[in-house]
Amino acid sequence: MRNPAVVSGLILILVLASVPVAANPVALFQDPPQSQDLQQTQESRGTDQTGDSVAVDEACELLCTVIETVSSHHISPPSKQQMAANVLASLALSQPGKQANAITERILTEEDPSQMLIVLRKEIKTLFPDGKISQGAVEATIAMLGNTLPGGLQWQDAKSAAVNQQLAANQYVGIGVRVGMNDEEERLVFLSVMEGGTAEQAGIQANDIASSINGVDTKKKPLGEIVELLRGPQESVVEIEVYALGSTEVRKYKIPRRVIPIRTVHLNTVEDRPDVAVLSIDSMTASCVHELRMAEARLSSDVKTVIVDLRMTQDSDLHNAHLFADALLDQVSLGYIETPNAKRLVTTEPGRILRNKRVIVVVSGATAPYLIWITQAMDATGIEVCLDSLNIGGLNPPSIPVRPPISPNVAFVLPMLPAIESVVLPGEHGVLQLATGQLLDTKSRVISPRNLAGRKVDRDHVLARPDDRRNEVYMQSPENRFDQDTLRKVLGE
Amino acid sequence: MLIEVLTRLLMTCLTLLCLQNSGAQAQDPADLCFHRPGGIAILDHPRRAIISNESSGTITFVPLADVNLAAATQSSKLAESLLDVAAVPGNQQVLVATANPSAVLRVDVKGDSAVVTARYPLGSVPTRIAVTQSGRFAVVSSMWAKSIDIICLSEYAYSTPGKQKDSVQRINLPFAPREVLPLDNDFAVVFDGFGGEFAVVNLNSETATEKTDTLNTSSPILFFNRFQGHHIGGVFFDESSDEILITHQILSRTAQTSRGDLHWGTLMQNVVRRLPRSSLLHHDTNFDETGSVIMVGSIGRGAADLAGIVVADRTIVTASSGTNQLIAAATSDSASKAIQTGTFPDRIARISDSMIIVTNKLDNTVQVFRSDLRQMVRQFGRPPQSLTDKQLGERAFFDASLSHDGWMSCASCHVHGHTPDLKADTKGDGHYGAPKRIPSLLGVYQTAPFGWIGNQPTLEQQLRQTLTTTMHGDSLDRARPENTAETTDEYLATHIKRLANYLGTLDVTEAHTGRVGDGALKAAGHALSAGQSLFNSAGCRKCHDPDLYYTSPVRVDVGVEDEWGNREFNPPSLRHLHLRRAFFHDGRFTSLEELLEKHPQPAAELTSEQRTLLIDFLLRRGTDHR
Repeated sequence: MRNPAVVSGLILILVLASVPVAANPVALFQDPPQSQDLQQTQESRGTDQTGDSVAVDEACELLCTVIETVSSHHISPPSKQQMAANVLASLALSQPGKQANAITERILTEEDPSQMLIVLRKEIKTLFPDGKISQGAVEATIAMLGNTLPGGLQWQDAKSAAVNQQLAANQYVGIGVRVGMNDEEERLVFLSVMEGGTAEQAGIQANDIASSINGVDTKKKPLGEIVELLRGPQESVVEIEVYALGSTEVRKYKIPRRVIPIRTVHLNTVEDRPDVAVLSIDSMTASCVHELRMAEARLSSDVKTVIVDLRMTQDSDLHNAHLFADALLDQVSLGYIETPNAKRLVTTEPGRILRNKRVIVVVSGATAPYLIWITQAMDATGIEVCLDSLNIGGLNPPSIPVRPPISPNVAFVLPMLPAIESVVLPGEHGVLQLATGQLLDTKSRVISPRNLAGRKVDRDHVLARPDDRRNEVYMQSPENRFDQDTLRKVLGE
Repeated sequence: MLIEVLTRLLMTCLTLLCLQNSGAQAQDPADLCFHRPGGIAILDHPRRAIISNESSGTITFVPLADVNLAAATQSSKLAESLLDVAAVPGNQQVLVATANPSAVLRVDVKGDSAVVTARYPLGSVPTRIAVTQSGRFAVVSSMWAKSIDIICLSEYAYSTPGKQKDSVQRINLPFAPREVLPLDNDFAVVFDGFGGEFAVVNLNSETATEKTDTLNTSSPILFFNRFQGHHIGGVFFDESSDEILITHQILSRTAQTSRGDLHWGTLMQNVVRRLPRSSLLHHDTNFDETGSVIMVGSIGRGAADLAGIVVADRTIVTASSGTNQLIAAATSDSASKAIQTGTFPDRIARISDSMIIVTNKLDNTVQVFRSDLRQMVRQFGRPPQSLTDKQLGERAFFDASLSHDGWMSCASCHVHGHTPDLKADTKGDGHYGAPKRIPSLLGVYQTAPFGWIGNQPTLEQQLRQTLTTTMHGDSLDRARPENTAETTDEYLATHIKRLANYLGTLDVTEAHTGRVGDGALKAAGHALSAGQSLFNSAGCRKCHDPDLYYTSPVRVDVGVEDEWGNREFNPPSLRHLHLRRAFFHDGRFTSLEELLEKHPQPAAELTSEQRTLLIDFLLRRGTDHR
């Protein structure tokens, strides 16, 4: 779910791309400073801090569009009446002294379905006589609607949707920095600078404090607002003034924004095992298949077994999961997508990578559900699946919702695995991600944690707390994620 | 005086040396001797390249002994149009495939003269011609007619003109053949012009059964097979590795035409497929598990529409006609080398281990390159000074700079202006997730509205939608000439207009398809009339109006829906149905028989006999309407 809260912490700066340039193929990918720190988040509109509000008409338009879209696309939508009543009740909560029950009465007594949204608009306007609604109230209302729907509901405004699209495409544009807030200086701080990014090339250093961005003084400005200043189209230039903490020297830079693809697939060898290679995948983006092909080309001829490590692959939308399956499986049925009117078989295309290798796919409780779904189809294909039973629920889920919401305490997946699709809302209202169907396995069954296929890799201990130092195996860099004991179990030795 | 002569001689030598080193063109007395150059045949004694010219009907001789000093010369006109040329081994002869009339000409080449010594009439316009190493057989493909002709070239027919020992055998195929590759002296492999099918053809029934595990020895077609892919651009037999090399594309039906999937090479791959020669002679070979595939182009540098291919000095060189490059295909990205060519490099031939020659179809030039692609050695011909709107539109159609990073052109999906009947997941219907069959563009100009759901009223609007949401043509900004006053949007609009005009010229004639003419139609009048009557009475014309190119400007619910629940579709045109291999928006039907039998909302119940009559009418009628 979209997190409107602005927090000091680790935020990767994302800016809107327009026209990407061809990247230097030698330095095509950047290794992220610490992949687990790549917590992608939506920047806030600053509603809680600045109290941004929108016109009632615009809010009505958005909310009615959301209701219509849910009604026409969701696998199991509530009635429009129900949704309209919930919307009104939620908005009423933002108005002190208003009674939700009284306000929703007209909606609940309206008998003509075609009038529902007309009545809703009237009631909203009555609720907000000054003609303005806070943006936070609108977002909270949509979030509330999502809580009533199987699979949830995630709304992104047009700009955020474009950013998410860039992320999923591994084509985000930026200057390559991680930022936070320095509470002492009350200014933005560059926590780290990505190697090969334009900020690093310009001379920005880790822990530099930004005194101004594009001529705007950053003192006491909300983080979200400063992030917005750093955004811009590809090849546009951002002017930054910085100083090192404790120094009075101000350095000025003009830094172009460029595409910075992030390496998501890591090829590693295993000590004393030249016949084994490990491909660790951090997140499933559009570049994954390309990275897998490149990794395959680099495999030594001694390698007979390839372990595809998906234990940390928390982010994957359905489309990228399908592309990944396409690359690994040759003309295989993955299962079904069931919608209210039909049940559609999902298959992979001819051809696959790693054709002459023994392939073992390892998943865990943190693996994205769509990837769990495709591993269940691997049973009959010769690809082995291992279930690493370690519960690593202490890791924060990504706050950019590219997968259905999952409680971190659930070992694997919810009974219903929704097929989340992105629907572009008309009228430049952004994108809505909602469940248009549910995924079933090849036998038309719901994916259940109780009967997942695969060889279990039981660990000698279970890590319960995120700060447990034994959790380091996952906090380590990709090349160190397999201890010898686990490796033997994965290989079935 | 002597000093003066020696000085002049020295200056001439120095000039020639400079010209050679700069790759500049020596004074070519026949500067305009190429007219849409296509096929290349290499003859020895003396060694020269014979180039066929599509629009002048001539052949051009390019001496190869000393490329830097050579002058190209042109023959007299042999036919209205020459589409391909092949050398007859061991002779100073070539075979040329001609249009208007459709025929193969046997031509004696002596010096700069070309004398036609035999003519083999064909039933339809030929596309490619190839000759076996023995010189005994020629195989001619006629793509739009879905047939091949096998010509037995007798050594006696030449010396005894009255004795017709040469024979021409026509074979119909279930796909539209284009590239032809003779294998040994007894077989030829004929490749699909649109999809990934091929047929192994027996040229010599006496010895064929000894060499293959063929299924059917009574037919010249031994078997069919296929590999994943479409738009086969060129084939080559590499003797050193005993492999067949095939250039083609692979369109993923899973990928979306999103910028991300296009950028990372997931949507469209341009590849060289390497198949062991022996594998082609076994009917049950799984070609998706046999051989290997080399991806050409890389992230940031697509290599759309691979065409001709050749191996020289152990280097595989292929032409990317969409990006106007020759590329050395390599198994690792860092090793691939590329060099710019003229517009639309098409066919390549090996001159020697160190040199190759390539024809650039759309700018009337032929270029010689070092096979390591470090340098262009010589260019023959020169590009036209000005281009008509149609020519500009044609260039745009094949221009991959209209797509992000040059991964594809319009021709990549709308192969030869038609369709491989594959599905692509575009945003034509407003969202991804409902891939739809690529429509044919033949006669498209007359079939408004456009798009499967008929949401684009004009062709220009459809083109704009395609260029922005399917091809993501951000390269336009870089391709826009610096000295133009046009904005990027105006530049795009100019391209769109040219493209639309060009699409208006796309069609195939009866000469191409070899379909029956009016006389034969009348002779078969009874059966045809019954089929036509059925078409009208069964209600087909309500959606497929003959007066509107067998379509109509409406959206119709025919009882099917796509993955997003869309139930209304604009009826596609029924022209050129014989060239189609899948029907309905999702290609669910692969034959007209299946379609009529299982149509979810048939206008009328038809008996089996009625369906036969209707299909006969549909398959014959489609090309008659202009």
